[in-house]
Amino acid sequence: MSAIALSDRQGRAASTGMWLFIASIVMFYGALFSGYVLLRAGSTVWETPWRTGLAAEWPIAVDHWFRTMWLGIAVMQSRRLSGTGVPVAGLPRFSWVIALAGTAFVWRCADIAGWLASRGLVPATSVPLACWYVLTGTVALLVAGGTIAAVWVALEPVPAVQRARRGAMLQRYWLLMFVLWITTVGGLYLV
Amino acid sequence: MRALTDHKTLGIAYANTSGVFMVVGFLLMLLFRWQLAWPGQPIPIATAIFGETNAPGGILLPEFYYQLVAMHGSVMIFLAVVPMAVGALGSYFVPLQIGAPGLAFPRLGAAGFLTYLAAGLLMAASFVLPGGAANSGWTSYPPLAILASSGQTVWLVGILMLGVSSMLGAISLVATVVAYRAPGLTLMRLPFFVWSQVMTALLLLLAFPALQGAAVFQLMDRVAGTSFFLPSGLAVSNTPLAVSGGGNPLLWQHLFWFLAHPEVYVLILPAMGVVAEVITAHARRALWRYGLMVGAVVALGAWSMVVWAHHMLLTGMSTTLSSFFQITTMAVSVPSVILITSLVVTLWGGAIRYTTAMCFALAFLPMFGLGGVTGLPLGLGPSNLILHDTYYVIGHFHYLVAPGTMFALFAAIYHWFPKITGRRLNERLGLVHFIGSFVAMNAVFLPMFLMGIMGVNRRMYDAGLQYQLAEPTLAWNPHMTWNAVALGVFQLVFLFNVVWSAKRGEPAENPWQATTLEWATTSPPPAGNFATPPVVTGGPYRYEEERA
Amino acid sequence: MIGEWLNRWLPAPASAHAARFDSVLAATHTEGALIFLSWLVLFAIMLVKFRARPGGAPGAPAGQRWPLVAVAAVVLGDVWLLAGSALPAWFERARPAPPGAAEVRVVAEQFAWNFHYPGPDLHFGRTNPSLITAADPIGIDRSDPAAADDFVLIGILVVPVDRPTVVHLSSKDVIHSFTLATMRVKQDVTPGLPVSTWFTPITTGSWEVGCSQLCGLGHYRMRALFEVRSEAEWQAFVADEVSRLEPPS
Repeated sequence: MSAIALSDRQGRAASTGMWLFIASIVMFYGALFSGYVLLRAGSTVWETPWRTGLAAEWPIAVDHWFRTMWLGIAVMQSRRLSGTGVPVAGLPRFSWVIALAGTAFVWRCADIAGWLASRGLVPATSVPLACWYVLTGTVALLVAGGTIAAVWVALEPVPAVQRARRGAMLQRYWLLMFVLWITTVGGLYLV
Repeated sequence: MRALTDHKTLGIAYANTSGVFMVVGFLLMLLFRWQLAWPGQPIPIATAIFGETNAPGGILLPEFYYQLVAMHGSVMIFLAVVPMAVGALGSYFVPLQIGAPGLAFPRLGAAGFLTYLAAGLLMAASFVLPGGAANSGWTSYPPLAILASSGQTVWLVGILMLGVSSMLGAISLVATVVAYRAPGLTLMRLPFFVWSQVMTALLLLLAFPALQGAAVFQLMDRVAGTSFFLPSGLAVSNTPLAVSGGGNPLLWQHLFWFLAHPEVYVLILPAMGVVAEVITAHARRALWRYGLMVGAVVALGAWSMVVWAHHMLLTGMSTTLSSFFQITTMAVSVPSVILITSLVVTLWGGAIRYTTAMCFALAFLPMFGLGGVTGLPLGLGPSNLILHDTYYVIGHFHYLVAPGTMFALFAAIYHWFPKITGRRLNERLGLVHFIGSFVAMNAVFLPMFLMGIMGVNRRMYDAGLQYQLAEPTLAWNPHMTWNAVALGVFQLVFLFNVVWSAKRGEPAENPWQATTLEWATTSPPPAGNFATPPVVTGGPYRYEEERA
Repeated sequence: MIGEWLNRWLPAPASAHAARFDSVLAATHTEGALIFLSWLVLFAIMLVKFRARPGGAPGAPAGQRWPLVAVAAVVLGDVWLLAGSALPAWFERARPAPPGAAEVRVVAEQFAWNFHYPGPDLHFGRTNPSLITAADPIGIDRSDPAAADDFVLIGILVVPVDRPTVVHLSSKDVIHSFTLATMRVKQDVTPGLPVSTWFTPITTGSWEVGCSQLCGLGHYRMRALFEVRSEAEWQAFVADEVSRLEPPS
């Protein structure tokens, strides 16, 4: 295998691996989300803080859209990295933008969880709250992982071809996060 | 650690570790088989080994018995057979069979192994916790599993880690096959074993996350006091449970079996792959209707994801829904029959060499067949009702996995041992191992079908001593236990053979004159696998030249 | 033939639908045996015929049509099993019980079966968990008029012969599985999901109620007596139990 062919193979392997990883996460999140749907469909009352008046105290739904925007910005930024195999000089900068958005997202999630918990609304309180914590927490965890990956891409000095490929992988992952978060917001608050 | 980034070292590490867990799982079984054969009779020295809390006066307590049963299943499936079939054989032979220098993501592969090792040690160590290891069966149905002692928490953490481990390994394996095939090695020239490994990896990737999701829910129920699987109004020993309620215990079963049914195919598909390799080489035949078999293995894998609720026919689900799952279940028999027919018809016109590897591979076929046909009554509502949760079920899935997959694993070891070590296993000892295992395995598992038909339930601490209908079967249990002991003795022969032959066995490069790509390099393969990168010009099984 | 062989080992069928369920079992085993044995014969022939001989070489491979024959046979067999045997029996069981059935509430708990009989008025009284005592594990609310003649037996199920019996199943704690082997009745009892099933005993006799789902450390001893009595004996049994009830204070 010549050097160029090897690079092609690495790109193909990376791309395949990323799609498989995404499929795996989709199944994981799908299991949690379908659990949520089944529990909600099977229950007679479904009381959430934002349905019983508490939301007036804190515009939770608005806040979530705010967070969604953060993620959106991150994804938009990463979209500019399009084109595998092409060296992207500005990749570290974009990685930092993604990392910043991710950190803000995780911080907002922790903040709201803390706010709920301080009012005695913990996972054990009710199944709706337990679902809120698990779904939000899972996305936050996945976003945290993506943030770490972004920092890694920004910091590790690797050849330009490889860096561009990592940027493209990062972008795919963050698109997935975007989709997961829209699903979560929609499923938890809008339906 | 660095050495593990080499796929051969990784494969050997998986093989050794899963081999140890296989012995652990086997010993757990011997312990509870003692209790089944002689309920309440003290085991000499048991108190000294397991302590007063588990075996006072040498008598196994139910607390301990149910740990043994739950952990036998968990260890054998998650820590022994799958890591052996996928981790060891897949990591070692898939890169070789596709002419690749290694795995696409060596670090992922190594991380996967270390995660598996940590999960295994954690689960094994849970026996020392107060209350011991998990004791709610390998199926861990809530609410029972949520009320269980802390060993269950460790079990759940272990399952989460194993999910991560198999995901890492599977990604690495599939990406390797997609990107690193030798020039000329098209998809339809891949050895069947590679196809089976890819399908297995995909199943692990797509099905295991469902169990991980379920494990997250159950972990929350146990640790954070949530009620995902706990309905309202639960009272244990007439004391109301202090939880919010509002959950659904059946949700676990759906998520669990969504993994656990494909998991059965994870146990079976690599075995089919091995058998295909061994039969072709030792009968000097190309795989008969290779394309159809590839189609069947893909269909079988995909279809395995829509049959899960046949494990739940008696939960009270609607008749329409349960009929749907009965129909999908029957449809599984089509690709299964294609595979098993193709494997046997491959022998037609061949020149069968009765090596130990071939004996094990051939014995796999009827054993798997027996496991398969006993799946028929279990997949249909009325007959499932009669047999559900009886020993019939135990007989059924053990025929698939124990004389089934295990025999295929033995075939793989006898077949590929020269590839790994450059030496052959001793054939005479191998024959003793084969005949002994074959007889003992059947003597252990065949009576279980009859016990099940007679209505003897599984998971009985006293083997059914309390039940009238189990009375005639009590006398069978000692025989089954002695055969299990004999089975263990024959495995000692095997272990001796492996250790001895690795040092002093007859040197061999390619003793079977096999034509698949792993034999195109030296035995054992050098670092980087192939001195000159191979170029492929035809199918994997080129035995036609030998035709008379 | 296979059916007769199975009948020798199965618990003697004693309910109206048992024979039909047994016939499904026989049909599946017949198909299984046909497939397996014919395959085994073919396999055995090949093992002998195509063994390697000294100096011999492999011959021509088999024709291409083999699996089509096998698959066609299996598909036909499966359709026959599903449409001709299993699903009709399964759907018939899902029908509601005919009128005039005896009714019993079954409340499962670790590790006992509690049977709540409605008494001669055929109406179950209210129950209330806060009224649970050692003698009354399901907490019958005696202030409810319908409960006046209700009685509870721990571990003893008695039903009349030749009349459908409906069992209403529920669980207090974990999943159990209500099993009457001779009646071909088995039903998971999941807490929070009450469910009913029914059967019609056709012979009197004394058997056992079993638990088929791992429900904890005492699972193996979660067993109850099960008796089918003649109508007259059953009426006498109910009257006798009611007469033992303490008069309301």
